[in-house]
Formats: sequence, C-alpha cells, structure tokens
Amino acid sequence: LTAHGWPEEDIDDLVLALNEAVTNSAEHAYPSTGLNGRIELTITLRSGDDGTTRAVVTVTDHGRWRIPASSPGYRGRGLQMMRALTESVELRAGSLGTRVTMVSRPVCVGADVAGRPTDMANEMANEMGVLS
Amino acid sequence: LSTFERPLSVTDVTDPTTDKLISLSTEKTSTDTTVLRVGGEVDMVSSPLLRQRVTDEIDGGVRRLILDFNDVGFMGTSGLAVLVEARSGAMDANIELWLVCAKRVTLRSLDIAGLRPLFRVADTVTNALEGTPSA
Repeated sequence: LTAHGWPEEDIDDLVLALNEAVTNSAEHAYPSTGLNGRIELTITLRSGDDGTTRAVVTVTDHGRWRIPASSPGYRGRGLQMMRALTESVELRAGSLGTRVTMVSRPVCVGADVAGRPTDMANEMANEMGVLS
Repeated sequence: LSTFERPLSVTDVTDPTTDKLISLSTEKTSTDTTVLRVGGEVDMVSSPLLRQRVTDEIDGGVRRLILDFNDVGFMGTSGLAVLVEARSGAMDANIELWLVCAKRVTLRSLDIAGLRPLFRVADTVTNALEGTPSA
C-alpha cells in the first residue's frame, strides 16, 4: 500500500482492521489448534470512477464459525473495531470456513492504480506467525 | 517524583516464544509508584504477557501504576482488553492507573474503541508522575 501511495493513517487503520480479522479467525476458527490453522489473506486495490481507490481485504479460514461467547471483559470487540475502521465489513460463514471481506474507506492515491493483489497481507501474516 | 534518580528495582522480561514481539520492563520510581514500560506490539500473541505483568503489579500493593505505551507500534483489541481489565483491577484495589500514550497508533485504537475517556492519559511518563493529563 505504501508503494501505491496509500496515506499512512489509512494504512494504520487497515492494518488494525486486518489484525482484528486474523485474530478472530485464529481465536474462533482454530481454538484448539492454536496458531497452526491456515488463514488466507488477499488485498486488492479497486479504483472508482470518481478517482478514489479502495482496498478490498479478504481473510479466509477453514475452521468452524463460532458465535462469539458473551464472555466478560473486552473480548469480542474485534468486529466492532473492523466496522469502525472500514467502509464495510461482510462476513460469510459456511461449513467450509469463514470469509471476512472488508472494503477500506476511499482514498486519493494520486496515481492511477490497477487493481491487483499485493504481498503485504501475506507478509503481515508471516510476521504475526499466523501461517503455519 | 518527576525523575528516575533512585529506581528501587528494575527488571526486564521478554518471552522467547513470542520472538520478542513485546518488551516489558518495570521501574519502581518511589515506594508507591511503578512504571511499566511496554515496547513492541500488543496483539493476540503478546497480550497475555502484558496481562500477567499488569496483574502482578496490581496484586503487588502499588498505589500508582503508570503504563508507558510510547514505544508500542501496534495495539489491537487484545491489548485493549488488557487495559479494560487493568482499569477494573486498579479501581478495585484503589490504585491510580495512568496510560502514557502520545503515538497515533495507540491513541487511534483507544479512540476507535471509545476508551480514551475512561483512562487517565498523559503524553509522557514525567507528566503522568506529575499528574498532568494530555491536553
């Protein structure tokens, strides 16, 4: 995103939202296997007609969706955080796993940007030790 | 109290299993005040270490606890959960809890979650020791 001229503050927000999505997958989909489950991330840049660009981020796991427990304290706020940090959050849960799709707020990156995935998400996941 | 001329004890612990994602060091600046400096990233993997250390400090009979997050580069909801628990524990134990946060990434997380008004927040440890909150 930096290479695409993305504003630093928007990157921070997306990283925060992405972290929450991956954390949710790791905690909810793979509670017993800990960090050994596989989580797939993609980021695609989507240019709008109005000259703005949005980043579309997907986080996919192959575990079973669990309804967040109404546990005490502050757990389970990840989804709220994701919604506050992005334009939209869509959650699809099926028997094969769960996919979260987040669309960033539109940003003006100046240069014309082709929609193509980046390696940033995978690098982040590796840094976080999520991918096995 | 505004300087660290006579630290009574200093410890530094990192957990090799987290590949040093987080660093935690405490400094007792007076008999009743402890500063816990946090560095690195506070996320799902590292937050249990922070939770344990904060719990230890709260249980240790301190009267004022200052959590310094100015060297933190990331704060997710796992870390925010620790802060909310710390607030509750500090209130129960009648401990004055301060957060030292001047960096955007940390303040952003607090603000998005609507938590900043719940805490005493200072820009620097010195300000926290003097009881001066952020503007």
